[in-house]
Amino acid sequence: MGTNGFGPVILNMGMKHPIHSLFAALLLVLGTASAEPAHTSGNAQAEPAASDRAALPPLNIEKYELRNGLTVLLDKTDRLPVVAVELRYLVGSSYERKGRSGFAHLFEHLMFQGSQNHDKEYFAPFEPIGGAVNGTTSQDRTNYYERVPANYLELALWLESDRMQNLLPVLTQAKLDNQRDVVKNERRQRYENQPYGMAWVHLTETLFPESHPYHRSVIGSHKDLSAASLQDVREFFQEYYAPANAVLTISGSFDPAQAKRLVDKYFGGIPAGKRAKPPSPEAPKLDGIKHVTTTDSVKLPRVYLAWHTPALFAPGDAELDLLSSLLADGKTSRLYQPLVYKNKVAQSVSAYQVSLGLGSFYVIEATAAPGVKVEQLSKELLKALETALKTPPSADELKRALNGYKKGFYSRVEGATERAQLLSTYYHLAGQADYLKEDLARYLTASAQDVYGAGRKWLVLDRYARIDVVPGDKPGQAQKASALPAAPKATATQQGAQ
Amino acid sequence: MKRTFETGRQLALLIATGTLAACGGSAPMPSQAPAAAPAPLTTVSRPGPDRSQLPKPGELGAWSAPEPQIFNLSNGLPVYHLEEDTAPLATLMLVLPRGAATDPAGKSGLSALTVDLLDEGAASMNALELNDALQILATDYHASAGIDHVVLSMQLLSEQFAPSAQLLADIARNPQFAPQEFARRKAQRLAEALATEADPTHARDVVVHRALFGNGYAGSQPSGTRGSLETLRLQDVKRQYKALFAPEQAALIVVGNLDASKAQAALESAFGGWRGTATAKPAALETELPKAGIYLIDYPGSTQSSIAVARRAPGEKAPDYFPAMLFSRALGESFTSRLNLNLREDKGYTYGAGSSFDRWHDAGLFEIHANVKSEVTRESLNEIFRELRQVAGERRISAVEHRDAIEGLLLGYPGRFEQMSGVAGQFASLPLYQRDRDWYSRWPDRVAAQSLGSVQQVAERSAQLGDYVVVIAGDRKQLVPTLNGLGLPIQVFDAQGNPVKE
Repeated sequence: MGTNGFGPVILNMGMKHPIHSLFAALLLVLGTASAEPAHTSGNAQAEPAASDRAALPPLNIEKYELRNGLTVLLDKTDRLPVVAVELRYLVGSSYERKGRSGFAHLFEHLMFQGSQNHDKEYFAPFEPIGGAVNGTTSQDRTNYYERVPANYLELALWLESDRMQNLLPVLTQAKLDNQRDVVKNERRQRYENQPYGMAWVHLTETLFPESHPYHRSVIGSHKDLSAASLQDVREFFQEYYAPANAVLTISGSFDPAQAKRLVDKYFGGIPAGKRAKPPSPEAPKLDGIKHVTTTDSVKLPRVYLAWHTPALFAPGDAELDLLSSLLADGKTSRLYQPLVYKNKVAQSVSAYQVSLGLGSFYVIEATAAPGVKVEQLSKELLKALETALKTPPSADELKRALNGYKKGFYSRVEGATERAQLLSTYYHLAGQADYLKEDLARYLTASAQDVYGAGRKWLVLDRYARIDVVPGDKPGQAQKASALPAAPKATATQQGAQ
Repeated sequence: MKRTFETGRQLALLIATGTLAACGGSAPMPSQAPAAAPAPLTTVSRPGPDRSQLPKPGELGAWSAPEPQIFNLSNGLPVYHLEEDTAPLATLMLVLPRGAATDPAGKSGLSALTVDLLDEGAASMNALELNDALQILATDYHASAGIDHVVLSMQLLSEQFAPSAQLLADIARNPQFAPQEFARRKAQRLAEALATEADPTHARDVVVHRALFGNGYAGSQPSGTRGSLETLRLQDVKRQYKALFAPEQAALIVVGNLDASKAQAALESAFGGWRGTATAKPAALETELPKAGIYLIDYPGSTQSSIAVARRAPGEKAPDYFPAMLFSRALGESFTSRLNLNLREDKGYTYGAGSSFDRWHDAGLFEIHANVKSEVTRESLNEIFRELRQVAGERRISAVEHRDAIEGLLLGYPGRFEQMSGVAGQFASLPLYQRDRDWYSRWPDRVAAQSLGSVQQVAERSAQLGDYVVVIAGDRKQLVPTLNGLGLPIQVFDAQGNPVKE
């Protein structure tokens, strides 16, 4: 606080302020993870209380398609003189071919290196107008967005459409090599050189079989990043970066008729391409406990437990979110109280559903208090979890869990950038952009029995992946796998800095 | 946002969903393509739009930043209030303009631990009861202590404003400081301090402050170190609480779906009877100037070096506050700034390089920072020094850079008022730095008034390389041979900011 006269949110990891905006953005993850007309199981109430629903602002969204298949969502709100554009391509790291891990994200970086009619930094025209610009890649999709003053909508559409249509003619080996280095540095900064950072790479590699696209991390390996060629870039662009595989959302202050005219002007003439087929791997299953121990230059051991859980959208997803609050939000939560507050074997504990398109996973992580060994920590964690899953939440517990989500729904429609991203996610996931109330209803109507049932069904205590991170050498240098009795032969894939 | 102990979870989710951004910001929204089979689509062919130049902007209406109304409670405590009806939410903050700089010598972390303990039992509620009371209201409580502030804040449903305000008053005015809670939170602080020693970027920041400010004002981290936290006793906490917590110079901030009379009634009942005098005084600024040199923290096997090139700067009331902001934006505080274009976009040494001014009451710092691949640490330092030299030499800040910096700040300004909680956070700076109520509405005029010459003057001061310390957290064995040629003394520090005796 109080630094820099509140400099603009510059989205650069090497700088200091963005961390805060990053937290703000993360608010969105908690509740929107999924969206299916609520609950299939149990004796939920029929409807959320009228007051809960009335409090959410109405969304007036207009949805249409261009002839080339580009889906357009218009969401006019005039609170501030700003407009946000989000262009989402329906491709993410799960679409990468073998030997090219990290490619979808590397490609995203290349989209900022200029296009035929603007062959310079993508950011350059936006910074003198105070635009907030970025792109992100996940397993399931890639998005690009800019928040600009309301009178600069045309600029954003001009630039987005030029890179959708005209990226390749000016894409050079030098640009690829440079961004390859940048992305490798991103890997070093956010994974290798971050305490526990490599645990995520190990976790998905352990939880998902090699044949599953979520096995590999979004950031990819150094080896695969090195292998990426210009030919790969061309093929990827031609396959996935086209109107029929994209959703354009405009939120904020704009004139709808003018926006439609501009969208048609800049995107209408781009060849359609085709909608990409999402990968369809076999549903992953664990047969027992898969246990991997890794070292990192950390001071305190940490244990991660992970289970396969229902996808974004699927019944059980919202219930597992509520279960997370029950387990680890607040001092009286069912894991925090015994492990951190009372027995003090853990320094911290958290539990969360990682909702993804092809199937989610659920993670419980606990960091040891100083002096506590990883075996003691995991024993106590499993014991506390077993107890926690034995009884349904009390009315009071459920209310507190729900409270944590309810408030988030109001704040997530405050800003134009967040709205644009939320609506395109709703459009994908729920088949309708105006899904805020229904999304909230999934939480409001979940009963104690639903939440309890989801925990019993998915967090089974004889089938899960377990990653121990213990103090030692940097990751990738020393690693061993061991199989507990219930498990098949567990294998830990070697991966790390090379 | 949730409680402090959930911070890790937020970050973890980011990594878990694997969402990666082109340049660091992020909004993870894992999603799935619609399952519907793609319809056959017509290939459209028609002449494209004119792309010979970028489009010109249309007209933009005038906009002015919101100003809070100020009223006083019967004890004189000011309330900064803004009604915003976009959602049935409100933010409530108690702001004290004194903080960790008042920690006694050798006891850094004391204010932070004191603030930790406020909600570990207050009035007649023990820690668990208070936790549940907040959760049942759906009120998120968060507290922090910075170098010269303490802020207690609540995000709440506006219909629960009055009971939340009462809880905030209990927390601020009647904490229990039970011995067992003290022991627990102290142990947690110690464990956190230990855990963060593994993070090179954190260690770098610890040593930057130590190198620039020694044991005086701003020399220590508000969160303390293992060494300083070990010395803290419950008596210290109780004494620090008395010294910090009083209505004197404090303020309340209310932003949200709540009119002034409702806010006033609830706050009068909760805080109107609060009396007392704050006695905490900040440590004096170390008069001895920092010694130029390389301050190295060893992280064997590290694949990156976390670099900071830093010097002292004046505090919040600095006469060059605004031109310095423009200077930093051109040099390193935007994606297309000189440093980022050079170290990232041209050389590929880093995921991002930047600069920033941090300013507090009595001092500030200017810093250039980047996490670079270990092998190019020396080359990165060379580039950083080259940029500093050139910005006052053959490549002075240009008229275009000056204009772009101003326009970028002005046109991006409304975007900072999107989130209600962010507005409240900005208003907190008003009482903190004794700024006028119209600070934010007048801010654009002040930015626009800065001349190119004033920005170039900041550049000239910034180019005096002898003022800088170089702090590097990285693999010492690999680094030392490459750094010897810089002609700067190398001193090794540990992650707590203490010199390592060889």
